[in-house]
Amino acid sequence: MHSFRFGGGLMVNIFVVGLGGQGTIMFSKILSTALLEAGCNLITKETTGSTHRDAPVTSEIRVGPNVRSPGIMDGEADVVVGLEPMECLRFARKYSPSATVFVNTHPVYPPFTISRRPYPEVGEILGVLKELTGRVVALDATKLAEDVGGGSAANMVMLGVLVGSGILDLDLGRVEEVISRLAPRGAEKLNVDAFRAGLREAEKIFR
Amino acid sequence: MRGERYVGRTFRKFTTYDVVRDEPGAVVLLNGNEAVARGAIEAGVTVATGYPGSPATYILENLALAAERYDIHAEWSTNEMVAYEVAFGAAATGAKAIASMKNVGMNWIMDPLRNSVGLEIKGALVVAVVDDPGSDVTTNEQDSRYLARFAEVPVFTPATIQEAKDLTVEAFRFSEELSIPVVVCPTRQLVYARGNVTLGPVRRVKRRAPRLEKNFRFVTGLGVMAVSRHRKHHAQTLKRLDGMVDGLSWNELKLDGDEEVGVIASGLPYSYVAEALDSLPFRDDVAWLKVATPYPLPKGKVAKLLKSVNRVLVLEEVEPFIEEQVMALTATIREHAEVLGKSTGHVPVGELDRMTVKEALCRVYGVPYKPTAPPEHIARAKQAASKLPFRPFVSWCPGCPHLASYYSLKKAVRKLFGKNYNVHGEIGCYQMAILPPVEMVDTCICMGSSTSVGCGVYHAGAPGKNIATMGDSSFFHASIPALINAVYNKADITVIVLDNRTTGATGHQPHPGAFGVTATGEPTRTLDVAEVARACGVDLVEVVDPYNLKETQEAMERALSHKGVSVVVCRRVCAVIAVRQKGGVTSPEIQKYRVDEGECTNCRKCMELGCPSLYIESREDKPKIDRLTCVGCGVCGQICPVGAIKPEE
Repeated sequence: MHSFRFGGGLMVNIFVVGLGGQGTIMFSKILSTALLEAGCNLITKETTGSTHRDAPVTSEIRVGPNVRSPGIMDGEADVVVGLEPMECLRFARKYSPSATVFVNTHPVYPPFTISRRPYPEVGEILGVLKELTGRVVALDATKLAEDVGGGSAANMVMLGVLVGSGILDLDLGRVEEVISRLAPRGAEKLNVDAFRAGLREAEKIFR
Repeated sequence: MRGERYVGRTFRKFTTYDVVRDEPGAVVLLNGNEAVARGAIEAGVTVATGYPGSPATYILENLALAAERYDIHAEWSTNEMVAYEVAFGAAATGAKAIASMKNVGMNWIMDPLRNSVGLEIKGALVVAVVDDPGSDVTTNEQDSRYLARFAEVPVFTPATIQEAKDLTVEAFRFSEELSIPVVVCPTRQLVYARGNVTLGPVRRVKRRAPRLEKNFRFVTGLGVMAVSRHRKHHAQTLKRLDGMVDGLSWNELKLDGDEEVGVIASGLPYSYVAEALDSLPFRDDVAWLKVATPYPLPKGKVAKLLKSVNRVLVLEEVEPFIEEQVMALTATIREHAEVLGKSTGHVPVGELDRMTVKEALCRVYGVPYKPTAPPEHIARAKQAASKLPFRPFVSWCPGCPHLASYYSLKKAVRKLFGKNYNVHGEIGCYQMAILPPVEMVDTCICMGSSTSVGCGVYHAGAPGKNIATMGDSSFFHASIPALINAVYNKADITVIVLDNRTTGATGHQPHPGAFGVTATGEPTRTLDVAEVARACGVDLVEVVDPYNLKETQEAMERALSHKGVSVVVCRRVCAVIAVRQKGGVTSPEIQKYRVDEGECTNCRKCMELGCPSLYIESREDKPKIDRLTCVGCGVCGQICPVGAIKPEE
């Protein structure tokens, strides 16, 4: 995969979307710390502050030497990480027509009493995403995380795939070190294992 | 770290602990809240107070985290007014103190803040208030800069995360020099953003022993005393302040003299405009003034800009606060620039973003605005998303005891009064009771409003039994005076306290009735809501476990039938905490429930509870329980009329 590194350093807008509780903030905290320690200037924006459990949440990471203000505007996201397929499509207006989208295909159903519409086929969602963006990398990260010990670490599987793709030009060891430093206490091993599972998956995809 | 175990778990998710590092010059990743807290630490704060409220909660949590290392007294106060007064008392003795709160929290401190002017504190007192343009996590998008101006104290608005730290340090310096409180007012977008910050040194001067002077210095007075203080504030303090803000390097003026267009920008809009200019060809032709102190305005610098350019665009969020002051200033200048902004329709009211700012700038400069992505692409993406099933942006948690309480309340009240009842709510997770299927909120203004509004509805003689609902943290915040008022003035009202033993919506902070610990984890007394209610003169006080539907409904029926004031305390720890204590939602300690498809008659009574673990896949399907999220409270099992919801084998 081509990297977003230019003469002046890494320049990229990364959009992370999922549901409250899926770990978008942990994802963003780990990725942005790794980017900072790799010498990048960055600013992130996170959904937080009130009860967002199971509600759509986003983390927006802007990296670049001249970046000063938070928030990705419509059509500005170069890299997208979707922890839930339908929510990944919901924010499509934010994605650039040439964006690379990494998406977890494991659906989380909204309460029908409120949603009033059936959940679309995941294949259909991926198809629309493909039409709207440059490239879609789809995988069942929840399943891969369950295989290494817990579906809750699907976010780290996605981080593994993202970093493993080479798109951010990040050192794998550095990211792994940040994960073991910042992951919730007691869950360090699970998170590192999930990250490695993601790396292995990336090797298969981007061989 | 001692405090660490007790700060909210949600908070721990955000922090990297860099806020406490004592390495001047280190570049770390901080969010805006951490940056404000770090600024206070660097300034040498010794007393820190606050009341939880998004988006400002994490300021105090960070200070609590740093409490042991830097010898800070950090406390969750019962409400913002108390927080401010505690901080004032500390500052009166010579200490450096900070009180932090959300925007609407500042409304609570207006009495003591306005009355502090002229009392000449010895130490330093900073009020950190986080505004919420866009009203994302607050009930209104008020512009708190007006409140600082009303109290005649300076307000600092940082434009970057680095400035959130640096200006907080500066605010302490101003406060110490002028002996007045100083307000630091970042916005939600900034405090929830995370970015590169260079740490400064932590000021560790040997503290003078705190001492309270007893010469009426800290006593408000009437008539001559109040007037002479107010006149002195104008004649001396505000005059000095004008000079200080004009010389402040953060009030930065870029003016070569040959520019035609000028920009005055404050807070995040400055960062937006700086970044927009980076990508625009005419960037060198634009003069700009970054305003770090919207009140008082750096009048000298503003005047210089107004005299030099032809048009000035004012960029600020929410109200035209700076714009109106700039317009007033033009009256004192013979030849000045035309002032453009919200009042001329060039800038919208409310929250701004990078695109809006760029568009406004292009319009004023007279060049076409080019968006980043083709509008057709954005339209197609929006179209695709519009067909998706709706997902609520806020949601109850599986097994929430409040849901069980509301279920029983609805049953009890409908049995006794049919549809003839009014429910008065407050601020907290339970505001979601406005959504289906609960739908149990008729009025909700602010913290502490439920009981008093209910009393007003009753005394006006409107039909219907009045019921006030509130959380335990809100009960201690402002509901006690309202409860006493209800008893004293003989209202007929039932007060339901949803006591989940924590401040839930802001991420599980302790309070006087929860955990038995302070903000820094020291063991303390736990107050009992029921005992407090009895002491307030309430005759009928019931305490129930909301997970027991029968017991709860019966108690509520007794309370609702009581003429006068009655209180029902629905006590059950927040389901999120309970699950954590058991070791997570997958723990073998959790007895999951399932729906027996053969026995289920698809009557959907269980769906009236509103628990997110219960779901229906399509219009015809029978309800199912999501194994992954079910916390095993068993409430739906009590609701099912045919016993089809059972514990898993």
